[in-house]
Parts: sequence; C-alpha cells; structure tokens
Amino acid sequence: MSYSTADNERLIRLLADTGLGDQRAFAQLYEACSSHLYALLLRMLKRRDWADEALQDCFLRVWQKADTYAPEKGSPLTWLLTVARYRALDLLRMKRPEVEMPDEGEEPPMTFADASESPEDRAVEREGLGMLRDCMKDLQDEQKRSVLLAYYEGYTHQELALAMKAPLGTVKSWVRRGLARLRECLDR
Amino acid sequence: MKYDNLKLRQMLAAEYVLGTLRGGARRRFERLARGDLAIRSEIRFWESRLAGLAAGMEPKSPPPSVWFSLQHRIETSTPVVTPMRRPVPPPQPVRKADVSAPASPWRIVAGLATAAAVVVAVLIGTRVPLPGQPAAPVVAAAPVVTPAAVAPIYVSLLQLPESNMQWTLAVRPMADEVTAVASGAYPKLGEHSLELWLITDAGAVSLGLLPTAGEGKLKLPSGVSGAQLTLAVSLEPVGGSPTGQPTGPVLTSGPAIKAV
Repeated sequence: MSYSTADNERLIRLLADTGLGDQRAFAQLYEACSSHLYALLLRMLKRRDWADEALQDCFLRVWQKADTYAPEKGSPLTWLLTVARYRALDLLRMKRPEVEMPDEGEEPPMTFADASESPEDRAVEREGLGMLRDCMKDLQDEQKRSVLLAYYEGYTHQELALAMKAPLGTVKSWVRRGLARLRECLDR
Repeated sequence: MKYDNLKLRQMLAAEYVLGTLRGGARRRFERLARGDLAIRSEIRFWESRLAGLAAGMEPKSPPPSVWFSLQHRIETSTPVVTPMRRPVPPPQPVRKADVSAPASPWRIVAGLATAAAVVVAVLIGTRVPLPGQPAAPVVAAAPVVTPAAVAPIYVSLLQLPESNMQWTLAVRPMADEVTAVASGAYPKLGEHSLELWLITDAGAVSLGLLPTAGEGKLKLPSGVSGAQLTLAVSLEPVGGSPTGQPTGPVLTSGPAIKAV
C-alpha cells in the first residue's frame, strides 16, 4: 500500500474520532480513502452509478461502525477496502443475475492485461503484501488468472467458466488450487 | 458439509473472502464463523492479504455528488451538529442513537430563506424603491430612464444539492458585474474549482470562479440583458475550465430574478 506508517497512524486516529461521531474526522477519512475504494468499486461493478451507490453505502457503514474497527483487523485502508469489496459482491449478487455482464458504461472495459502484472506488482511491502506478489508468481497461469478475475471482477465459478471458456469443474479446481498454493506460500 | 477438516475450513475462508463462495454455502459459512474464532482469524488472514490486490490500483476520485448524498444521509439520520453551521446548540456527542429522529428540512429551508433574505437586503442596500415608486423597467428601457433611476439587480440563490453550501448572486447588468456571497460548508473533495456560467442561447459564457467562502466579484460580459438570466455552476479543474466551456458536471443551476 502506498501508505506510510504516519499515514496509517493518521487514518487510525481519524477512524477512532469518526467512531466518536466526529464528522470532520469522517470527512478527512473520506478524502484520504474514497479514491482507493472507488477505484476498486468501479473495477468490480463496471458502472459508475453502481460504484457511486456502493461507495456511499460503504462510508455510511463506516460512519455507523467505525467504533468496531480495531487495529488488529489490519490497517484502516485494508479494512475499508474489505468493507467496499464485500459491498460490491453483495451488489453484484443482487444486480448481476438479470444483467449478466453489463458492458455499457463510461469506463473503458477493463482488460485482463493489467491484472496479470501491474496491480499485484504495485502492492507494497506491508502486511505481507510484497509476499502476496511473490506468491502470485508461483501460481500456474490459469490458477492466477482465475483468482485475479474472481477478485477484481467478483466473478462466480460459473462466470469464471464462461470468461475462461473452461468447464465449471476445471475452473473450480483452478481457484482452489490457486488459493491453496497461495496459502502455503504466504504461510512460509 | 463437514467443517471439521482444517484444510477445508481454510479453503472455505479463502473462497468466502474471494467471493466465489456464494448462496446458501456462503450464509452457512458466515453463521459458522460467528461462533468460531479460528475461522474468523482465517478470514482476517485472507482479507488482509488479498486487500493488497486492491491497494495496488490507481486511485480514482469519486464525483462530489457521492459526498453530498452521504452527508445528507448522515445528517438526516443523526442529530449531529456540523461545524460551520449557525452556532445554535453546542455539538452533541450523541449520534446514531436516535436513527428515527426526523430530518428537519423545514428548519433548514427556513434558515436558508432567512439567510437569503438578509443577504439580498444587504446586497441591494438602499436601492430598494420606495412604496409607490414605479418599478424599474425590465428590459431595454435603460436609455429612457433618467440617470437617477435605479440600476436593475437580479438575484439568484444557487445551492449545491444535498449540502448547505450555497451562493447568493447579485447580477448587475449595467455595471457588468456579479457579486457572489458564499455560505455554508463547502465539502472540499480533491482539487477542484467551481466555475459560474451564464447560460445564453449561444451556449455557456464563463463568469469566472466562485468563491467557496466569503464574497467575490465576477465580471459580467457587457451587453447582457436582464431577461431570462440563467446561471449554472460546474466543477472544473483548479483554475477553471481549460476549454472555455464547462468540462465537468453541472452541480447546480437556476434563474436570476429581478430584485430591483
């Protein structure tokens, strides 16, 4: 993460103050973190209106639940990104059944090219994130691709099978083997 | 499904966080996790590791409307007093305790109306015609009136949606000038400027950048007639639109109405 320890401490303080109902701290927290969450939400949801809605929901939740954050849950940004990602998964589950893969939207379609190297390469050396990058390299191509597609696109096994043009069972085992291998590697 | 197998539980936690565990299985696993510390710590492990994939992405600024709506939702669900508001009651440490507390749009509207009335009164000062005096002509009659006649002033109140940020604008076509008085809390998000536009049949004409606090004077192009004055505010890069036309979203717009 591109956040220094000082940034991290500032975010912890802002979250704590937000938990006490300090709106100014909340505004600063939003200013510091919203663009990171928004990037992920746009990537996963593909539609600006959904991403806007999800971002709002996330921060409303943060406002209401900031007092439940504890530093052992990871850095504040990690926690916020996790909240955002679960919200996006919920929204996709609600909205994607009918609209299978909305390709409409102002965002250029995300190609897989950048997922294959840049995002995890840019992840920094905090909380074992550098390790994640190294461990990703150990994965076989299909395993890596299926894990990254599931992460960034919020794909189900079925959607992965469709996107990767492979049988459902095969895709499931790619995901599982990929995760198992990551787990082993991250444990080392 | 048997959950007692360590590897299986690890795998389910991983798929839960990744999001490929869906439907009933996901809900069952959530229930299980509530009563199982080991599962929760496994979930935490994956959450913190996989977040690295998101943290490496290029940040993207959300549109200001998200913050405005968020503020609105927070303010209507909590009795918190924000700073920079009128200093009525002291800030209360209470929040979200009373989610059912009704919003008080009337109080806000009344406050805005009062504030606007005060500002308008200040802006137009002593030029208000006395009762019985004929009102100044609306358009194109300027050459006919005597020099002592009142120069027309048009006022407009533009508010950023779902915020208490607003501008009271006084347009003086004869002085080629617009006075803008900002009030409320400007939710500054990222680096932007707010540009005021006059909407004409030929398109938008920039009047300059709006102050986000205090008062500012903007230049009105000469020859603007008072009839059908429409103003708009757009979000622009710092320093204003690089093209001379609005490039960002129009945040608010409205007519200027003849006050004097």
